[in-house]
Amino acid sequence: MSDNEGAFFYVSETPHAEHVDREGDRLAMWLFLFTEILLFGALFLAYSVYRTQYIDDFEEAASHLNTTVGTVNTLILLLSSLTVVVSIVAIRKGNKMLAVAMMFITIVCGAAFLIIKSFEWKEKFAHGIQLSLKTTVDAGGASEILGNLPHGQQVFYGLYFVMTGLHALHVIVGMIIFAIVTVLIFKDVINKKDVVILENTGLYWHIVDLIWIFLFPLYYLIG
Amino acid sequence: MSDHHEVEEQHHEPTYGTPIIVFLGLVAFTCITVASSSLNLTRSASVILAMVIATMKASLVLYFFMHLKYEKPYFKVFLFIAVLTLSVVFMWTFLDYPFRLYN
Amino acid sequence: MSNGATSHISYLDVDRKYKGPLSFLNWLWSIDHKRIGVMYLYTAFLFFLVAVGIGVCIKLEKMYPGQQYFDPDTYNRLFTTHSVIMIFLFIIPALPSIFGNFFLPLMIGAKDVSFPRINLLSYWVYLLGALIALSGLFFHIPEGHWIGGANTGWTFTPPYSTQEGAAAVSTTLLAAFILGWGTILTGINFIVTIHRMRAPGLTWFKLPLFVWASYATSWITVLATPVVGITLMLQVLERFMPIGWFDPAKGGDPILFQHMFWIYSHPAVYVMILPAMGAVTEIIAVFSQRTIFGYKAIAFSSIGIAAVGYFVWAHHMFLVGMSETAQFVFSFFTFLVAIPTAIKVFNWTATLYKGSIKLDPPMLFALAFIFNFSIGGLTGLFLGALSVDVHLHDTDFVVAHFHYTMFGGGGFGLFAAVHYWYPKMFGRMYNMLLAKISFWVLFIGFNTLYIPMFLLGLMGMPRRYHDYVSRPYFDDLQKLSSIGAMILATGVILMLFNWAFHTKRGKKVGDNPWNGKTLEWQTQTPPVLFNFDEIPIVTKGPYDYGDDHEGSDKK
Repeated sequence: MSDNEGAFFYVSETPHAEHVDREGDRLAMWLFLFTEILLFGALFLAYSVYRTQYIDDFEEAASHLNTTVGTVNTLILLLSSLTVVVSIVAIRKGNKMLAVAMMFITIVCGAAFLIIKSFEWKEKFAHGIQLSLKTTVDAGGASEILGNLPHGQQVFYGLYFVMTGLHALHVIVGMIIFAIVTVLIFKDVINKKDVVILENTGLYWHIVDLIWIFLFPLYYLIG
Repeated sequence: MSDHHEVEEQHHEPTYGTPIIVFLGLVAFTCITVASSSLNLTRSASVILAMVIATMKASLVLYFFMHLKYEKPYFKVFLFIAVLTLSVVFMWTFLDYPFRLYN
Repeated sequence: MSNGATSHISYLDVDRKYKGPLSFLNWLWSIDHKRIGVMYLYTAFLFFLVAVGIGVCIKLEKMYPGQQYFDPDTYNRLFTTHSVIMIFLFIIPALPSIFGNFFLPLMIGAKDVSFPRINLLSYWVYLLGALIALSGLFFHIPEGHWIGGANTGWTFTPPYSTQEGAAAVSTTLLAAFILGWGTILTGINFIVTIHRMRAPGLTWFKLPLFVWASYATSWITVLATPVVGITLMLQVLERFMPIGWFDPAKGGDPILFQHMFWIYSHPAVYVMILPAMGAVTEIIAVFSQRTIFGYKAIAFSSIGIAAVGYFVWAHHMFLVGMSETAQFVFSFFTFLVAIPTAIKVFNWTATLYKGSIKLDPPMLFALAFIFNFSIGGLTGLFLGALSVDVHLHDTDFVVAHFHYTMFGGGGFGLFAAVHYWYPKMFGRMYNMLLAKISFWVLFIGFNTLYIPMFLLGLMGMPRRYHDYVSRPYFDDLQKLSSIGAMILATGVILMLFNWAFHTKRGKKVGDNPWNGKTLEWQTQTPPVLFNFDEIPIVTKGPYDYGDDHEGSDKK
């Protein structure tokens, strides 16, 4: 209690200086992933409900999505998942530079995924299918086109933008965390004996990949 | 940080081989699912096939990439509970929609 | 370290050298689970007091037919604000967070929760969400009023909710989303803590039953909250974008919103009640000085309630136009909830049998919990029955029913818990006589308020209505109910005064004033910073009173 003499207010110590529980850390991450599963699960529920109601519209709208682009993005995400796993193995084997290189590839993969995604969105916007804010909608403007589509297609595109958008948001967050993780590898905070930060970030990244594994066929293939 | 880090139990020897094989498997599944989409299957068949393949890919990711294989059994039980909860939510919601009289 | 009176410095005094203008940060920055628990206690009860005040306003408006004090639109805002504060700011976070934070680590013999910093973060998230929720009151202000807010009810049911008061409703939805993440973080923390931090020898079936209840609660928050979070966000997006997930004019289905809303919000009802049940279990055992009857049955019924909670959500929606198949199945599963709940009630009564019962304030509240909750639970069966629900849906009967469970159950359970653990938290005792008086005022006021509402509902009084037509009996019942509300509010004020006044002035108590056997009573009062001087090694059960009646798990 004396080691924060001079502070302006009392900072309680952590009792965990000596409490290291890696299994508990991973368990907490898994529990967090369950919340992600249910978060996206709710969106998949909405998707499946509307798909059963508007099966023709959904197939029609889905056929306008570019399967090649979707496939390339799937492969990119799978590759990035591999590099994360390899990075963990490299750290545990003491190969720091390989681990850093793998982190770098992971971040590049994430960026590539986002760039491809943004081109895909842009192409949709060019065709007048976009989710502009209501306040900026000009009469006869772009979102009129979306408004004139059949109901099922409107719902389809609404779900498409929100689900891929939320997924892209997760990719961005993942890339930021990986950048921090790379620094931590450099600083040996993540080391041969303690990889839990990298492992947990990896778990998060894999769940992002896993969600894409389901998004991909539902939007790009079943058309 | 203290030296308790040594307590970390890791029963398996890390290898580069397994993840690469798993990755190739995932790529193969992706190719299969893309190829099958041009097979002109019936609506329900194509959905079921796509979902089965996606589930297999997801299992590979969970089991190997996410190290579920090396975790204690209760991790698997918990994942099962989470997935079960989600499927209950799906099934119970679909007690409503397909059975509505006015559809 | 010794300062004379007690052997060690308690968690309340660790900051005694830092008393300056910034001393509130001694609390706001503390990662000590006990301080976080106490902060939740103060914050939650502050909101509770506000919401009780609004509740009294609602009842005053209904005291006589015609408009009394508030116009219809203000009335809508009042009951919306009442429900949003009571549900999102008080009862959902309060029960798990106050006593879960303070006592869960103590009960399992741990120094703190697994992630103390995340624990503090959840409090901040809670505070942030609360501020955003309250800021919603300053949007959508109608002409001639000084305060606005959402007027949709806490269920935000579209299409109405997407048509009116965009800013106010969106702010409230955002607040609910943020508050949800606060409870999720707490839930994750508790699950990991219970799994990983138990003292040596404390096996799963030696855990106090409050811990079991908290464990079940935490699972519900982890597995249900995300669903409502994304649903509320979809509704926010729908307002600002040309998409109508829940708007029939654009192809959406408003009923889907209700499904997704209740997928969370029904299990959330058990978030409100399970920790109260856990606390009541502790109190019944301690104040009968008996081993709890049917330990495993109570433990598993907590898990059972949590599980069955996922199968019943659409019983809130019998009249919205679901398929009859769904109505039938949801009704059937609703009846199943009664089984684990009744198991608990029977075990509590069996524990009382031949016990040496002491009617101290915690026990009075716990017994009132059983009484009120039985009424609330049994009237729930009326509402779960399809044909009866057609008559009772959206009437005051429903309002009375869920107040009997949420307030008569959850609220009284919470009051019981505060009276029970207060001496451990503050090292001092409240005034016993005043506590008993406030109990009786509360109990009489509560029943006077809500029993007439059952009758009014049966007679056809719709809920959420600002006005009613004067009829014989009708007026008298409304008036009786409003008088009950005022008695109840008096009781609340008496009780809160009793607590607030005695935190610093009450009589000092010893380490174990109630002769409890669980671990939190085996350490100093109030506890030291890391709870135990030495981590205890557990060899006995949590209710080891030396009796060995049939049905106890230690033969």
